[in-house]
Amino acid sequence: MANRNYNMYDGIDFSMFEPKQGSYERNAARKIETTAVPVADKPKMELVKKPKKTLNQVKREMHASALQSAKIIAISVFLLSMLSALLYGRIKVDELDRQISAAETKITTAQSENVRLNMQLDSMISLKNVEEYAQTNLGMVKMESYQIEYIDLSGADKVTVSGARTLNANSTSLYSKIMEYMSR
Amino acid sequence: MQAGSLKQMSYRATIALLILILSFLVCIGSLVRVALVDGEKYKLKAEQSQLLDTKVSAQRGTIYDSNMNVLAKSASAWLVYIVPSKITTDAQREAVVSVLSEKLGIDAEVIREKTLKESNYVKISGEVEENVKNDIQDYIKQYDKENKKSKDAKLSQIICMDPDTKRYYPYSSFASTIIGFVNADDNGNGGIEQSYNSELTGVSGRIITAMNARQKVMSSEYEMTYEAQQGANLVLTIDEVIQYYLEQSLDQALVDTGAKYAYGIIMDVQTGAILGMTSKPDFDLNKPNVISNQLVADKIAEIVDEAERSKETQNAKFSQWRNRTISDTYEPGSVFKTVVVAAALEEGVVDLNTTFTCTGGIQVANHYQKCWKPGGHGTETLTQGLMNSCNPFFITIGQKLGKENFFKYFEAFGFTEKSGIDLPAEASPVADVTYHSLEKMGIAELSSSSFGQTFQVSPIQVVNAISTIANGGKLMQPYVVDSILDSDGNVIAKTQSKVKRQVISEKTASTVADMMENVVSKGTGKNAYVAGYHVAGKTGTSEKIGKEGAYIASFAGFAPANNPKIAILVAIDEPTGAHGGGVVAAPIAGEILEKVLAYLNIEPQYEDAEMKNVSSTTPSLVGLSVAQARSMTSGYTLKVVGSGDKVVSQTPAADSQVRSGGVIVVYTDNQAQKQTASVPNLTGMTMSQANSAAVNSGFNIRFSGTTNASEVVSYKQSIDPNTEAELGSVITVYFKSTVNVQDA
Repeated sequence: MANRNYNMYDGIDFSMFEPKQGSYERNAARKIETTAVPVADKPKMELVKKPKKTLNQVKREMHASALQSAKIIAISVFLLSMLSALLYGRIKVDELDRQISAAETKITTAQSENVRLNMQLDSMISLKNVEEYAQTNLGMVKMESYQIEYIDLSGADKVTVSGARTLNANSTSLYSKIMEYMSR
Repeated sequence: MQAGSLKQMSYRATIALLILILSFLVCIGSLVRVALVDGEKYKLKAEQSQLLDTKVSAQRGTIYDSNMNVLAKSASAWLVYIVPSKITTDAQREAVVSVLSEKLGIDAEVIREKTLKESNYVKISGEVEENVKNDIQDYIKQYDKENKKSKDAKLSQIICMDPDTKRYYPYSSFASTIIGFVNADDNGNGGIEQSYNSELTGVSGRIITAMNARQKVMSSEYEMTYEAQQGANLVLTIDEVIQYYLEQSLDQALVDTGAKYAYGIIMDVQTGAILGMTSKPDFDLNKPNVISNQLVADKIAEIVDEAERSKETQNAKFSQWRNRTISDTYEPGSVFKTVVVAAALEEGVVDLNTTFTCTGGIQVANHYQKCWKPGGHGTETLTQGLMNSCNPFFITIGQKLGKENFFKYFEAFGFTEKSGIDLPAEASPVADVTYHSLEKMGIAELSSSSFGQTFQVSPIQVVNAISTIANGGKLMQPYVVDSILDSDGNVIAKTQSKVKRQVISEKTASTVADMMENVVSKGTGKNAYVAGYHVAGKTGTSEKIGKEGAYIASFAGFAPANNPKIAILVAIDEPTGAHGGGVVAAPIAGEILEKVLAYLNIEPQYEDAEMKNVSSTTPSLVGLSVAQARSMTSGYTLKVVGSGDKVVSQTPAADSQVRSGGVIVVYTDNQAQKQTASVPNLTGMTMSQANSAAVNSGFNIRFSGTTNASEVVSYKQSIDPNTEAELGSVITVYFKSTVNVQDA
């Protein structure tokens, strides 16, 4: 106990991990030593004879195979076309979006221009300008109150028929119709 | 030793655990902060990063007059700004200055100063129209093309444009104080634009678009659009033609009288609708910040001190924006006598047979109040008292009425409250400041108030009171917006005329109306007389408080007196020279009424005496032989020009109104030169003098204005003197009286 040097590995017997004497040799001998394995009788190999296919069978199989290929191709084409259509649709939508946006901008611009020009027109044909132009350039004078003729419509409506029309308007005889026509 | 080791391990484990717990708590705390406390902020940040929110401005509603003529309309425009920080060379600076000053009409130095600022955004101009924007962009493209190899910033990165809106006012200063204008934020400033701002503004729309990781806008299927709702459109009660007549006459009045301001209102007496309203001088709605009065602008430009100049500029702007018909108050003077006489008749303290003897003044408490007519008016009836505008008579009536009754009617006629018109900044009456309260009204206050002095009212209150007399005693609520339309033109609201109260009986109103008609036909208001129409009214003259020698001349009345349609108020503020309401304001009111009544298709009814002054109409002579023409114009002076046999044209044209003995020039040859002569000066003459002068010069004359009195003198003519005019032309000459039209 007293001769023992204590270190951080106190309590661990390292000799336990050292290789035991003769172990290497034993292992080497074990590796070299080969045990004879009893050879079992190998099973006999026989060629499997496929049954001979008839021509119809071959044809059927070929047909089925072609159909399968066609199906795959068709599905591929369908999927491809769907993808193309989808892409095309997306491109088209984007293009139309752009067109709509451009058209809307054009409309807004045109509307603004319309307002601007209308306002310019309105300012040019203001009462003040019209009056000034009419008086100075056209030599016109303002309408005076005496130029207005007032008609009294307060009485009942009257119709004065001139001439002595004897034809009855309600008459339906051929003669009266002819006379009426001629008198027009 | 093992115990010590264990203790140490336990200690270390505890620390580790504490660290773990602390970390966990920090994590939880952070989560709580992010999710709950600042959740909204981070949500907003995420939205801002993932979504693009674009505001779509709602277009401001349109303002129409009563005939659906556009008075204000908005359209999209552009805002031009520069990024001075990107200007690196003098060549770029000069290019920016030259293109913007040329295309936008802004002083080059102003733009150069802006280009020197250290900023990424300096606004140059808003409300830039599409064509101007295109011009600027063309220049930018050209410049950038020419400087393609330059490593400096492109001009397109320096001059930029953002969407904006522009408000158009096609008739510039027309009805400017009623309409108002919009500021840079598209909010109303003054007038209808301000009082109906919320209706006109509409609701802005939004386009919310998803953005991808690269901050690029994703396709429209990830887009949400909320359409902008256009602002409502307003239809005013203002009639463009009536407003034009009013403005035209008041503009002329400013020139003729040299007055500081002139204002007028025309109102539909039956509904309270304002047909015309103006306050001159006004301003150009398209340039509200430009001082319209050149004299004032020049005076301000002369001020050296910058602070003082800026202050005066601001004052001048506020002054020209001010709608004086509702925001200013003045002493109504004799116009108010109509209210006093209505109250006295209603209360039965006087009747039409009441007489008073004016000796030239009356003692009121310690003060002797003189009548405006030295020596007095003598004995006069109630109607004569009003016609003469006799102050002692009305002091007596006021005293008879008593302060309680006086105040009752003062209040009932709407002088103690705002009229409630749908316009901003209406003057607010204040007791004992703008008028005498009942409690503080003594004999002196009652007496002076009885002839319209020592208290102040606004023009809109006065015209509303006069309209009450015209409308059978019903006080109406005045208004300027007739209806509100949606963007498709459907009516969403319509103003119903509102009777505020019955102030006086119909009988009293009718009696006062008759008395007021006498004022115009024979009294101080005779210059507002219009042949063929029965005009009722009252003149007023008042000295401005605190400004000696400065007067306000006014006339308030209505027509036709026998079936009132419109009420009118004309006030001339600080006229130079003559300052009486009868001399200054009444002729202007007469001119306006003559045009407006004809426009409203109100038939003139001439009386026998009036028919004498109404000219005859010329016959149609075109196509007749010269001999036939002579026989048809026996009452005229016929002048034949040309060598043909038949008349090919005539001056004046057929059915023109000329006085008997007038000149008719007929042309018998298409090649004949039109005969012209210099127009004589026909002002300052009596009717017969003016007629002779016109005929002697080869012109015809038509009388207008006051023609029912012998003392009238011409003061204006339709064709300016010394201008060349075709012989036979009809010159309208306006007459007014200067005798017995004084009222205070």
